[in-house]
Amino acid sequence: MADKLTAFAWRHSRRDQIIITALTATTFPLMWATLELPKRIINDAIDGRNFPRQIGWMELEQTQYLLALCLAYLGAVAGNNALKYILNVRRGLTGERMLRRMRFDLFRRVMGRPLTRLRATNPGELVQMISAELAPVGDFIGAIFATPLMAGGQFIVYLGFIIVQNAMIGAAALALYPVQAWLVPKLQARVVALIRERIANIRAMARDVTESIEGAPEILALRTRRWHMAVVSRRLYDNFVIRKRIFYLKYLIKFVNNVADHVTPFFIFLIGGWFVIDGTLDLGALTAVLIAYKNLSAPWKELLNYYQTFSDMAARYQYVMDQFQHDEEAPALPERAPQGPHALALTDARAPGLPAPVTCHVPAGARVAVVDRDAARRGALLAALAGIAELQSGGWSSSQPIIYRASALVRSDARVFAGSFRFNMLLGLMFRPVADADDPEAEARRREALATGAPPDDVDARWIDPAEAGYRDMAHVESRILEAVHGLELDDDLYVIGLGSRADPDARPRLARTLLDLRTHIAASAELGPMREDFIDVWRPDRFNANASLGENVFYARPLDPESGWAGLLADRKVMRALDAAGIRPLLTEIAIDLCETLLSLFEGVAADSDLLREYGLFSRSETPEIRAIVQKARRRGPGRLSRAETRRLLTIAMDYRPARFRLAVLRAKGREPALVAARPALRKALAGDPRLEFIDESRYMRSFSISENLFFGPVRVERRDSWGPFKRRVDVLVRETGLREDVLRLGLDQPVGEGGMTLNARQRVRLALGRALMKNPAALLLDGVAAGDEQADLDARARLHRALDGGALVWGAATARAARDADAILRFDDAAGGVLLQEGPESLARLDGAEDEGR
Amino acid sequence: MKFETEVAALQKTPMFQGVDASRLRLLAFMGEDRRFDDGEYVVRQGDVSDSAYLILEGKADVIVEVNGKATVVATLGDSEVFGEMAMLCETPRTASVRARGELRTLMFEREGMLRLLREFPEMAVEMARSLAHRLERTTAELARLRAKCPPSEPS
Repeated sequence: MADKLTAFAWRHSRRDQIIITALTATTFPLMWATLELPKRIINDAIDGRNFPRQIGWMELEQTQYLLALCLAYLGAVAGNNALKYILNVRRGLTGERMLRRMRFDLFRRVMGRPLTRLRATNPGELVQMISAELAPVGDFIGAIFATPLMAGGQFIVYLGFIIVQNAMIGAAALALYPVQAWLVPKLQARVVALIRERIANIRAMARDVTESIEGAPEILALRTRRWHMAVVSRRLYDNFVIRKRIFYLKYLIKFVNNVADHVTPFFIFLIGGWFVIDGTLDLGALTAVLIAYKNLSAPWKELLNYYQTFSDMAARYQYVMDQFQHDEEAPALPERAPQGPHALALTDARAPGLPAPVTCHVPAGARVAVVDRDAARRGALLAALAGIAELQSGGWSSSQPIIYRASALVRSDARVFAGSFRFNMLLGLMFRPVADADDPEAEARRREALATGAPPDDVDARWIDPAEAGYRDMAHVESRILEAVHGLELDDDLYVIGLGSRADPDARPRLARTLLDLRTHIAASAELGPMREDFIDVWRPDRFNANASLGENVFYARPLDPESGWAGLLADRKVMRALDAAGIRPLLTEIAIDLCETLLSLFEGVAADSDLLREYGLFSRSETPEIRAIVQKARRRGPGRLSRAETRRLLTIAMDYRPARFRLAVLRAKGREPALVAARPALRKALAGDPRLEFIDESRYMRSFSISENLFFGPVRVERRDSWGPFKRRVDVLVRETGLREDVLRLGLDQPVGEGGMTLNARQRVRLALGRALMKNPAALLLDGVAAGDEQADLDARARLHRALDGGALVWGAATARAARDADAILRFDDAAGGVLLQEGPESLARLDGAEDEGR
Repeated sequence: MKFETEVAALQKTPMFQGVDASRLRLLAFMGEDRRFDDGEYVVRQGDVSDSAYLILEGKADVIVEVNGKATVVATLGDSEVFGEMAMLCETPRTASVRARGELRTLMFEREGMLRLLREFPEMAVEMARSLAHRLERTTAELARLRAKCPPSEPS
């Protein structure tokens, strides 16, 4: 990356910059025309004589001439502004492209860093650099050449005009510019230094904030919250002080400029006046000089302004780039692995964390244990075997030349990425795009990427080559996912995920139809029907459903968009009017007031920073003062006096109230439930066809319901939640018999797992990582801290994995000889011989076992 | 006020005897109703689980299974708490509990319980005191049993 901002701009946007400059130059004559034409209109058309005039082939009377000039003026103004519009867009795009280039380049450099350096990179700081610090540079860079050229050009023209009138006055006009030109850069240099300081400080603050949030549990345990807050508070103070000094300097510069600007006319009046009295200059010329001087200040100010911004931006740019000066261009990812006779092999390899150069191999299809008590050294050897360690010397090879299939390493802290379950399973196969994306915008994305020096890799392209990955076709890949999920005993987990998710009936008509049939079948079944009544609070249009939310009960519907939910709906006046028309708004408000009052009294005495209320109540602790105020107002002055917003606030809270779960008895007062149920038809009529709501209907597949809600057609009764297992299992069998289970599993595969797989538990995450590894069909699967113990469960897991690898080798790091008793070969370090790696048969385990016992 | 029955039941349990009624009301609120029919299992021995139960109404048998033979070792009644050990220590259930007749309980989840204890440490102290008492009784019982039948030779 270029060191200097200008060099960087010139190298990568030369063409755009020239076009922008040329376009700016074209606005010049038009600008002149917009000044010249009004003068002509007054002097020539209105005050003028000698009509008609000959313009080209036309002969114009005075009014016609006036009209022509006015139209020309209009045209010039329109043309000038149209050009400016084009210019601004162009400048913005160029700046944005350069910004994209900078951002992507930085990200690429960071991603290309060796792991050891990458681990030391602070994400908060980096995000700050890539997102915030560079953004203004992008805005600026679009006209980095055009601005000084144009402003400078204008300045020279006006100055030339003055000098032509009178050299002495020209000298006077110029008198103070050298002072400014000398003083301003000096002050500016100090501003630049302060800007660097400020950036460093903000970056440090980003680091502190990241650290405090990541270390929150520790801070809580140490009770050092005040200290950590004081640290950030100090950073903010430092920032204030720096900003204060910047303000002093910045406005001092402005002061100097302003004074110089206004002192110059003093000289012009004095010297010019002297000349006029003396008779060497006429009054008209002096006026012209003054006008020219007034025009002169605009480009001059622009130049100074440009200079200030330029030094600011160059400083930012420099300061960001300094952080990356040690990053070389990341080497291209190798496509192929060096091929060797063994599944994996290291020859004389020196790698970080290993005591001596190692030579060893993993025979094809074998089970190999790295036996070492030192977990770090074990991990280092496994990483070297997997071919992901940076070898200082020596070589690594694999029997599988396709690099992403040479090895698969699964660590206990395996990371799951945001995206669907399926995406995570396939991630190991997504080495590079294998076919272009075919949507209409694909070409534009490609062009834009190439224009900014980014690789054209498109996330919407096809990234998996099934043949290369060892599959017949994509259908084979898909079936293998389910196979792996089954093999890793994740299918029940996935089934639960699938049952809890919503499906689009248009995309899966069979699923929707079969679910509907099953629903009817269960309800009608002599055996399952009564069970359903026992465990499920089935939806009935004429009955209140205590296990569902108040909102669902009131509308007998569910919002189709779970994001906006009831809040979004109640924000609409139409919905509020419908509640009025159904005559239940006062009742609902009364219920909401009761509810909030009860919750407030329940959580009285809970600490201010507690999240208990948010987890178990219906609003958070920070909202309590506001809600308490509304409730008090309602109690004091009557619910009718609440503002529309206040009522809405309370109603939104009440809509999520589930009587069976909360048991606050706010609906038990006489006639409340029946009144709400009675209002359902009126509400339904008022809101029929509202695209945000789906009215509950037993005869239809409900989009807003999850699969299991569609199946059972009602929420599970809270009080029966610990007993409904047998019923659920019976239904699961039915689901399997109708062939729906696989559809549900596939639906589960589509569900997002959240950032870092946060919707999954630790067991599921590790197994997902194992599945992802198996999908690669690797020459060897390496386990570091996963299924690597000496218990029977781990031995079974290894046997299953080895079978699933279907000819691939299995390598694991074992802490003890016992954890290696199912291995065909052993790798261990001989500490007596300076950490030389030994490769032995399983018979050596007996010896190792003895040694371990002696050690005890 | 809400939750009178629940609070009354909680107050009768040794574990929550000294705890303020307003705290118990919050505890009752955080619990969930669970109803079991005759013969339904509440918890099963060996299951990994994270909830405790307070009996509001009805009776439940505690069943311990040793070598495939199930024995009813105790019967629990109103205001008795069970499952709190497994809840707090995340250990598998040491016994099964089965409803005898209709059983109404209040179920507490580990997460909510721990949060509440963090919020009101004095509650944790009371709970610890009660658990210590119980441990003391169990230890005494064990000593008594040991004295009755001398331990067999270690195998």
